[in-house]
Amino acid sequence: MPERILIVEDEDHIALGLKLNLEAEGFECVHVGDGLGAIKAIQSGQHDLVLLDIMLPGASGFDVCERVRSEGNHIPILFLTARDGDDARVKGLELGGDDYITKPFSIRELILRIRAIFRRSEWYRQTPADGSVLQFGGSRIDLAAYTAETARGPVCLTQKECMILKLLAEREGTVVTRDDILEKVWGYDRYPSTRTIDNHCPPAKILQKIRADRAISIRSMRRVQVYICSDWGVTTLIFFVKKPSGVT
Amino acid sequence: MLTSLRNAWRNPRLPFRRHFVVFALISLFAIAQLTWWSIFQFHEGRRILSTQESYWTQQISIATEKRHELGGDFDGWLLRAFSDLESASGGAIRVSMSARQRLDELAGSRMRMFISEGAFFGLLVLVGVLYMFRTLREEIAIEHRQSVFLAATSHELKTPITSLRMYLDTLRERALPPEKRAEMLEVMSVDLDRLNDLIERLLQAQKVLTADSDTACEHVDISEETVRAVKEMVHRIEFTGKFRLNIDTEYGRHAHADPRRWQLVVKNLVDNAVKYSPDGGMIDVYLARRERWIELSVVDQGRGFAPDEASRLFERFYRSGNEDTRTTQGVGLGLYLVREIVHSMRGRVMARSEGVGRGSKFVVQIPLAAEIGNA
Repeated sequence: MPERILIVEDEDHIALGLKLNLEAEGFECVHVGDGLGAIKAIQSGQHDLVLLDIMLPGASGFDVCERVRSEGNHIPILFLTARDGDDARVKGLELGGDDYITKPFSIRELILRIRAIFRRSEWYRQTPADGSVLQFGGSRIDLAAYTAETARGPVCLTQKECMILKLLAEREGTVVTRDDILEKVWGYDRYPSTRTIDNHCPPAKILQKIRADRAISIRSMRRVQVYICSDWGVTTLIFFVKKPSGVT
Repeated sequence: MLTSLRNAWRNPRLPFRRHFVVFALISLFAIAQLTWWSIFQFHEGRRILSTQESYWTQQISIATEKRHELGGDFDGWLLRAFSDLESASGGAIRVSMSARQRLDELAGSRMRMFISEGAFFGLLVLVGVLYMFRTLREEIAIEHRQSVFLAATSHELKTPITSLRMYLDTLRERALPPEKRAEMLEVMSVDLDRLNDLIERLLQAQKVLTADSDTACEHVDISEETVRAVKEMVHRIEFTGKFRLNIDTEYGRHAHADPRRWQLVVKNLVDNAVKYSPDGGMIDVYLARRERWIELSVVDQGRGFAPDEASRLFERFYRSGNEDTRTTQGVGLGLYLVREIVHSMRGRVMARSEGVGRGSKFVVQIPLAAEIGNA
């Protein structure tokens, strides 16, 4: 079944061109020309991805994204806008956008990014080989429900936090760099600040949240900060938060 | 005022926050100075009164001692030595009524001086604070309008470019039937026109703002120029099928004006009405003599505006509403150009609306040809 894309764009010419190209690539497309219509269409749950303009009549793209995310809807949102400042880009991504492309864009690049989002969404949905419940430092993390059972009670996790833990679990025993996490969890190849992870989901904080902090030791090795999470042989994860200079 | 302060404080641009902190500190300092001066003056007045009272008390005690020494000559001595004192019935010595009156008058005149100086000082501080506040607010408004202009221009430029690039990529990379290709080429042509329109408008604005307005002015039949401008627009407007344009002109009205600039005024006003009119809306253009003026009115049934917005509509880069939820194209220059051109013709502009959703009326008045010399 083809993936369904909702195009939210008030400029008919651009919407028409997008529809034509995306349908030629095998996607199913629906066009909405205003913000309020977009919210209704997204709430209907019939779409797999939203291409969202920011400057829209009725409600701005930012408003639409904020509203959708506040309702707990995790549908991938790709901002497609003429607003190219870092402030707007950061705001869009912080509100829960999955990617941000500025106009004028290359249609090829857009299609590649859409496919990357779908791949990431697929990875988000995939259950680890040993089930959707992850054992971690004495806590149980339910990747499907975004919750953790800790010694001190249940804890709610965000989607991104869950996905970082999932990635760490998948790469058990290997080095996971900042770029790995950005690419796999956020899907960005370019972002205004590479401090995204530290700003939003610092691993130490996530581990603290799931009460696995006792299993963390932090060491400094020549400007390289290494978090070594060890549950005495049960789970061993190594995580580089800063790539050492000279290492490629 | 408080709302403006609150909004400015929430503005993430730090320089403005810094300006507001400085403004608040200066205001606080001025108010503190005024308060300190008032308290000082009040205490000074009381100190003078109590000093005088204690001086009189000392004089009374000295005079009481002297009464025993001088006996019958006492009254004469008292008058010479302490003119403020007098002998009361029963042998007591007291401050004379006239001396008390003089002291009261002194206190009263000090109070009057204090009030008038205080009021003047207070007014000066208030004017200074208000002036600073207005300047700051104006600076913030200009900054805001410039950022709106940049956002709007960027959007207006990028939208047709995006469309052109996308259709070009599509034509280059996809095998399409000839009718689809023709349809795309038509879309590209419209986008090119849109891009060209915007660039023309920006260049026109630059020309209007830099050109010497008097050089191109001549004795012009304004009625004729108005009809010509409206006719040029009728085709474009009625082609869309969304609006109807009606013109009602008194003929033979002449003014000293630049005909091309006058046409620009008419076109910008009609363009503005088209932008904010609903589908099927009627746009009326009237030209008539009003006393010593030629009056052009453009009336629409569109979105209208809040009455307090009327004065801001003609400001440079001003765009009503939020840029993120904009429903109209434009960069905020049309009405500004109208105002600048009309002012250069010694005319005036007005905007009227009974409120949002109730249509609007834009009025331009320029002096009749015979009136120019007297204006």
